[in-house]
Amino acid sequence: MPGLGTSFGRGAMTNHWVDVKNADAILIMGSNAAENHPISFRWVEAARARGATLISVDPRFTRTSALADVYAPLRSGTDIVFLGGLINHVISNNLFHREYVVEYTNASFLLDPGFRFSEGYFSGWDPEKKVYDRATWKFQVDADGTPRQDKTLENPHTVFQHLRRHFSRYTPEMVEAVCGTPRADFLSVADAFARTGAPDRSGTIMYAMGWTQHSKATQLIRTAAILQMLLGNIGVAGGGVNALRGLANVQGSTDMALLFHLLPGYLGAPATKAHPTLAAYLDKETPKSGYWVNKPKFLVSLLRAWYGEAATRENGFAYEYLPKYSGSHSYLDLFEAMYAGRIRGLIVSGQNPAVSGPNSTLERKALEKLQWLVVRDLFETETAAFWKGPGVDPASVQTEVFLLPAAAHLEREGSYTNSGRWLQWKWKAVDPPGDARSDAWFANDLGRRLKALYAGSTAPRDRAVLALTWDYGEGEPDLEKVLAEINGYTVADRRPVKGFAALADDGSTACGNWIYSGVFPAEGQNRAKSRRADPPESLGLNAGWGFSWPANRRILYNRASADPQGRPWNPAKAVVWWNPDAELPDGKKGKWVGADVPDFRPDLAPHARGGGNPFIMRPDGKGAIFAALAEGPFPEHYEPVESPVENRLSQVQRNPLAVVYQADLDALGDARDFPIVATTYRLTEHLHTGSITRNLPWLVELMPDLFCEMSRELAAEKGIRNGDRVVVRSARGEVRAIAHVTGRLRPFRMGDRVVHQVGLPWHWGFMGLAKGDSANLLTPHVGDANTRIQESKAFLVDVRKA
Amino acid sequence: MAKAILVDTSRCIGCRGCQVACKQWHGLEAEPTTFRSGYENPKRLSEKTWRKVKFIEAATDDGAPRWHFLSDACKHCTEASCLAVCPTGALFRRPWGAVDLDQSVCNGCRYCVAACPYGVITFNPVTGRADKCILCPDRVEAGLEPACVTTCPTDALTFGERATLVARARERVAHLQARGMTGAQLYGERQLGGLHALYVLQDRPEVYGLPAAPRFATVGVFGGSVLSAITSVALGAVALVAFRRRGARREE
Amino acid sequence: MGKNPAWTWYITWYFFVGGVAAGAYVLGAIADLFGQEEDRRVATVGYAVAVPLALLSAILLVLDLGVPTRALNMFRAFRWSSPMSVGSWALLGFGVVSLASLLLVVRDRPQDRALRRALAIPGTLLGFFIASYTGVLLGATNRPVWAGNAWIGPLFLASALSTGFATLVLLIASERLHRLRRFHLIAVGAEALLLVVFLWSLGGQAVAFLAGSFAVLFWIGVVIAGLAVPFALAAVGRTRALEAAAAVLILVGAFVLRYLVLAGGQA
Ligand SMILES: Nc1nc2c(c(=O)[nH]1)N[C@H]1C(S)=C(S)[C@@H](COP(=O)(O)OP(=O)(O)OC[C@H]3O[C@@H](n4cnc5c(=O)[nH]c(N)nc54)[C@H](O)[C@@H]3O)O[C@H]1N2
Ligand SMILES: Nc1nc2c(c(=O)[nH]1)N[C@H]1C(S)=C(S)[C@@H](COP(=O)(O)OP(=O)(O)OC[C@H]3O[C@@H](n4cnc5c(=O)[nH]c(N)nc54)[C@H](O)[C@@H]3O)O[C@H]1N2
Ligand code: SF4
Ligand code: SF4
Ligand code: SF4
Ligand code: SF4
Ligand code: SF4
Ligand SMILES: [Mo]
Repeated sequence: MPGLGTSFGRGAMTNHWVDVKNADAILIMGSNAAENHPISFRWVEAARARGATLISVDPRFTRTSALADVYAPLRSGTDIVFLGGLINHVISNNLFHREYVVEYTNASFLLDPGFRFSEGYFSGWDPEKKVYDRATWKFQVDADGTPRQDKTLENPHTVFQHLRRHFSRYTPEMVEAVCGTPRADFLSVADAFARTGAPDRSGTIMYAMGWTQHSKATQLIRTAAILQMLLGNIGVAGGGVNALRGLANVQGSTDMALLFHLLPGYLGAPATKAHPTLAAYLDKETPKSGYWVNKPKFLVSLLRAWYGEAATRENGFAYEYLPKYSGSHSYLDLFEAMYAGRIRGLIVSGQNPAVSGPNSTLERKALEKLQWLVVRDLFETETAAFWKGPGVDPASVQTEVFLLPAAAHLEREGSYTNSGRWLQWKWKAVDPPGDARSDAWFANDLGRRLKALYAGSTAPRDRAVLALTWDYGEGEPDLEKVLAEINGYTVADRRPVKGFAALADDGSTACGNWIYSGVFPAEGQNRAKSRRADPPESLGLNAGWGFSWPANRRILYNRASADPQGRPWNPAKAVVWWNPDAELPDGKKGKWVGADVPDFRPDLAPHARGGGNPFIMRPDGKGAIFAALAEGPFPEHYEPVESPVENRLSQVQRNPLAVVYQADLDALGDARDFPIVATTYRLTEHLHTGSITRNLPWLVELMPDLFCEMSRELAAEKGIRNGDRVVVRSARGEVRAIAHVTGRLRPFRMGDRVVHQVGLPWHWGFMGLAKGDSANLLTPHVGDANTRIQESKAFLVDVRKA
Repeated sequence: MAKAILVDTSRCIGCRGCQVACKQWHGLEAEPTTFRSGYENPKRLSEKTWRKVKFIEAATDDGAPRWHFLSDACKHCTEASCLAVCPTGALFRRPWGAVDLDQSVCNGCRYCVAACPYGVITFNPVTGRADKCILCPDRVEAGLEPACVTTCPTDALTFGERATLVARARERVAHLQARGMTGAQLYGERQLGGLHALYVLQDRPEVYGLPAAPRFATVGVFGGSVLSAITSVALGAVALVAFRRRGARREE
Repeated sequence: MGKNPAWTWYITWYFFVGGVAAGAYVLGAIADLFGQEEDRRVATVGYAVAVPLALLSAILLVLDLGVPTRALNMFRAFRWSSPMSVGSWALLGFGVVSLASLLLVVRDRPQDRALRRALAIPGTLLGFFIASYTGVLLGATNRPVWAGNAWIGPLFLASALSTGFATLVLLIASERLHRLRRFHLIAVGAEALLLVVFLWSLGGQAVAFLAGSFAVLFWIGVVIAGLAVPFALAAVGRTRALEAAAAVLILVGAFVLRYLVLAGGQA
């Protein structure tokens, strides 16, 4: 989540589920929490019971909107305009939290005089290479390198003034013209949420895929981060920009380097060119200031954990064994490569890409190009059965498919890391049926077999496998042992380290993931198992429930919950504060105290140098209102790659850096043939590709068929009645669905023109009890400029009666 | 003493966990369905579906969409029509208010089915008996909450002392009205002598398909009986007279 | 609204058969109580009709149950609040009494006469009850047409008496009925009158019968065949053939009436 990472320093939910109850205003936008995170509404409702305002912004009137105090519709793919409008509203009506902005963000920093934004581009755009030269994207600095500031924010070169000018174009009229949001609706949202700019009020934003699945998703989330910094809503109870992670352990898999460009604990993965050696890596990747100066300790400890005795100071701690990446290996790139025949084999475990992947036609074809495919699943999924899918002649498919039975989450123990960064241990409820095995068992067994296979080899390329420490025993590995390794230990005596502060870069410590360090502080003390809940009337930090990375801090950047002098902005919701009289271990006086673990050096006084820099993971310790990303340091609206309208904000129609793939099946449609905006989404009743839920009769009963939501107006135009069978067609494919004509979707009146939008849940496929077409037959292989996540929330289709 | 379920529609997110939890706890089969005209399924409460969430699409006067969710099941009425007309005593009242159904006694006469003013209790053609929500006596009498209540993520369903819930519901209604939801009201406090399923509604009961004044099935029995008696007497008399006259003649 | 109980043809037949049994018994009993020696035939036939039809009624009721083997559960309890419960007990009582009446009237011993007449009194009351409670039972539901309607009982009662009478007409040479004949017209008249009241009490719902899906059956079956024609025939003349024809039509009309009332609540 670079959107948050670049702004605050860490790419994770800033607060946590229970903390939502402390909010005065809750903006749910780009998420449908009521349907997809039902349990979160326990806390949303708790907040509302205390008088909080719930705001829902969604193209469709959802089950979330149904409970909202304020609802505003917007056309898919236009959130930057809506949020930009809020930023403009907050600045031009002077509703922002000035002291917070001045002290805790880089708003007061002076930008290079050469920095500009015009005609939809920032300074430094190279039309040929289609990249930015970031030379002017920097601060003016004094001799000693510290950025020049103007705390009055008046200087035209301040980040703040640039921000103001940039978003002054995002007026309510512009919002209406681009988003199709009625002016009045936009203003009621603006009014309700801007109130949280008051120092003693907090507002939270809950978002998920409605924001991330866009060709400019990272910038979109940056816009939200900027808004929240302006309102002083970061680091406080009931505030934050809260990414509602997908499944119970998605945060955990991200922390453990699910993504190709990361190593565990958000250490960047090494690249072939940039990081040939450990020295080169550390040199390039270690900043001069901020907490990341400790990066060498974390990487070396990781290498020690992975390669054990084989990792010595002499051989750069076996850094060379780490796989390096040569280009983007994102999900979309993998399938493009597969489709181009550049990948021979694939192991799919806990995924069903034949239904979940955009442009399913291409992705299913890609599977046909494989020599072998291993699927580990609870059911025979569409992916495992792709060779007998619709329109596929099994005889023509050469891929050898192995389907291995997997144990489900209740059939094995282990830890979950939830969206709020809490590690919670989960005990096994029942034994897996038949030959089903846990994923850990499979990984362990595979590792052992590979080691056996390469045993005795002298080939240099095999050393990586042989050097790997693999001491988890046979069969079901002891996962607490694994967690202890992740926590880290001193190599000499194999004693657990108390936390990442104890990690060293000399090879004396080993640690599987530094941010988890502290979860297993002592022999047999697994804090993921701790279950002490706070009383309901408390802030609900629940420090005694599970373990929250980092260092059991519940609210990130919580230094910002207190004013520059260290006094809570809102005593009623005090998180941490400076107590000048508190004793330190070494007898000195003065430290940060409070209900939460300070996300800050505990003894660094407010008035001391850096004592007012809450964003400790950033080099300058300030929240980054100005932060360089691929397509610029400020968010700017561009239309989705498939859009029915011209971009009203500039000549630049779509994100110049959006990743658009070019294979023959990567067709894009235009508004002449496909005038209707489409989006895809989830339903409470199903999970993703439905492999599980479309095999459960009780859930099938609730949501039996694929449907397509559309407005009465569009239905009337097309002569469609509620319940009719319809065909939805995009440039990439078509699906048959049942029309759900509803007042919950309304045409977008954008000044002079009307744009229709339809929505389809994407839970269906050709296997299981309830079969149906997959919405991903319609979606494009188009990726966000920074993350390459697919743009499956805004694309073009046409609809007709079947 | 009397217990009840409080259904607070203003907290309900329509997740239908309750609907499924009931099926799971009581081992009720899924019904074959198709996507008809909206999210709601199956069509109605039945012998296989004891609790069901209604999805009601509405709109404000200025056309803004509204979406109401109602987790509906047996109301466990104090004046329970089903129980009143049951000839076998298969339907009976638990001391704490539940209208329970003894499957080992029910003979499938279906009178209750026609009597329930809410169309709740249903004939099960497979077992030949009636079926409905029984308020989970097995759980409640073991100190647990009903399965549907335990599942509810938002506490839109709560279970407890009826008196306490009535008080809480009144507060909630006040809270909602204070927040401008003028239509908010409590349903079930008085209806049919007081329901053991209370509803905090955001609009008129009719909007949710709840009769504002449900009818206790047997209220008409007395009137009907009297009229029948009178008719009997009248026609009997006539018949009798027919004979008497004749008899009188013969004396002459 | 309650759900459709889906009561089957068994129940339609029961409503009809039970009515005939009750009607026949009541007329028989009146003849027995207030008639002369030569009216005994009426009594005998009345009782003789009631006994088997009461038995048949019970059988029909059992057949309609979801679990027929549990028919006796009807007698697990006596519940005032449930017309069906009271009705079941009443039917049991009616069966027993009418059987006794029949035995006594057949054995015909002078010393039994007092007892027989004594029995005829509760028997008559039970008869009236059986003839009308089904209507009250329907009223004690929450189905369209039925819910809370107090006139179905009286209507069924009148029609029960006229069907009872019609049955007697078919089984006994009409001159033996003497003046009881006149009662015939009155019963039919009363039925007609109550039908009008019933429809009026239905208000809007009456349309279903007068003009809606049931109209044809209603007008032809109930009004013309069941009421108008028999009335006319009775007025025209007194030949055996005419009377028999009228009796048959009355029975048909009464059956259709019950069918319609049941269907009306189960549409
Ligand atoms: N029941 C259930 N729960 C789930 C899942 C599931 O499959 N089923 N999946 C889990 C996972 S992995 C994830 S990632 C999360 C996803 O959680 P969500 O992001 O909430 O899921 P979606 O339904 O894909 O999208 C949310 C909403 O975004 C809206 N939307 C579409 N386009 C736009 C847009 O351009 N702007 C805005 N503001 N909104 C838009 C859609 O109408 C939809 O209501 O859910 C998790 N929870
Ligand atoms: N159009 C469109 N496409 C989307 C999205 C969208 O919003 N719109 N959302 C995207 C998002 S956010 C996500 S997260 C993906 C999800 O896409 P996928 O992850 O491909 O979808 P799932 O159905 O969750 O696949 C999980 C599979 O793992 C199996 N499984 C369950 N438990 C276990 C286990 O313990 N071990 C193993 N080995 N297997 C197990 C399940 O049976 C299932 O088949 O979809 C993406 N695709
Ligand atoms: S994880 Fe389970 S309990 Fe939590 S919201 Fe999702 S489905 Fe509900
Ligand atoms: S709702 Fe119906 S079934 Fe439930 S108790 Fe009341 S009358 Fe009986
Ligand atoms: S069907 Fe069963 S429960 Fe219903 S009234 Fe008849 S006996 Fe009672
Ligand atoms: S109370 Fe029990 S029986 Fe009734 S709906 Fe809830 S779970 Fe089902
Ligand atoms: S479980 Fe609770 S929130 Fe979900 S539908 Fe039922 S009542 Fe509503
Ligand atoms: Mo996800």
